Amino acid sequence: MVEWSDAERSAISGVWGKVNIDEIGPQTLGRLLIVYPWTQRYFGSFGDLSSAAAILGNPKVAAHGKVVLGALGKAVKDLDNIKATYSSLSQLHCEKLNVDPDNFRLLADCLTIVVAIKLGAAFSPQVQGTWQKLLAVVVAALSSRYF
Amino acid sequence: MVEWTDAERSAITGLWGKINVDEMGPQAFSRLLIVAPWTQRHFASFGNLSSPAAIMGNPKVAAHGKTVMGGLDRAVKNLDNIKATYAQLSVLHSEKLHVDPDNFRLLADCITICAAMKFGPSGFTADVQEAWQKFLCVVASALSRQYH
Repeated sequence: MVEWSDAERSAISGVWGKVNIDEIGPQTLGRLLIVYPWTQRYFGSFGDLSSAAAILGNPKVAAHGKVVLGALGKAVKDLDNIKATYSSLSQLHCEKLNVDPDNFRLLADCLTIVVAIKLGAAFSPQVQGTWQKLLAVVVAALSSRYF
Repeated sequence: MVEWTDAERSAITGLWGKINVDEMGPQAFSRLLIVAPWTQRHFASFGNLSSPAAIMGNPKVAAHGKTVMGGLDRAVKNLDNIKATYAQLSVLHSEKLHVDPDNFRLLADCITICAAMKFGPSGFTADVQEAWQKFLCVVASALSRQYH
């Protein structure tokens, strides 16, 4: 099972406390679709994704960004149980949505960049290390029901 | 060969023009050693790497950070020829230094985070991020090229 030190728990809740899901979610998903355009293939029903401006102004992208980031909150609130927390989401992404799990890492990278922009100097190397550990655990949990 | 749009060229050179290698090099390199501690194995001769504070205050880390970041200058100035530009460095990293090429991606990620923090939401927009990460991906690929 994943071990979290007190310092790590504190760093994670510190970061999460500054994350506004309604702001960070849309920015993160928007950047994923712009920086890694092949990910747009999963969102055929979202309408206009034809340019960076279209993506960043697209209300379906914004809404879905909030959903995804809201789900991350479940991990933050239950750090000792992340694998179980994401078990059914993992099955959904694999069996129904057919999402290549490598995309979880790409989204995690975009989220880290958006958080770094938001926190500025407060995103110290130690905080970055802890944050990336959290996202790695989440990505592993989301990938866990694939085989 | 890698194709660069005018917007991408402009984003990359624009960002590079505002980057202070002496400042961002040490920051990015320290983050690599802290966030991905197994990378410290390549730097046994650097002295004290026993804590984040030790790493961030280590003069050899700082000096090497500047060297590595400065190496990106050649790629920025030779966007259409990155593979050839880094051929010798690639051989060096493979045959002499024995660096796992996955580490190039890890360092690129740390550089990207430093750039994001420095330039903020107005400077490091999604378009700029796309161009910058594409650039670093091409660099990492060129550095890995001579491995087999």
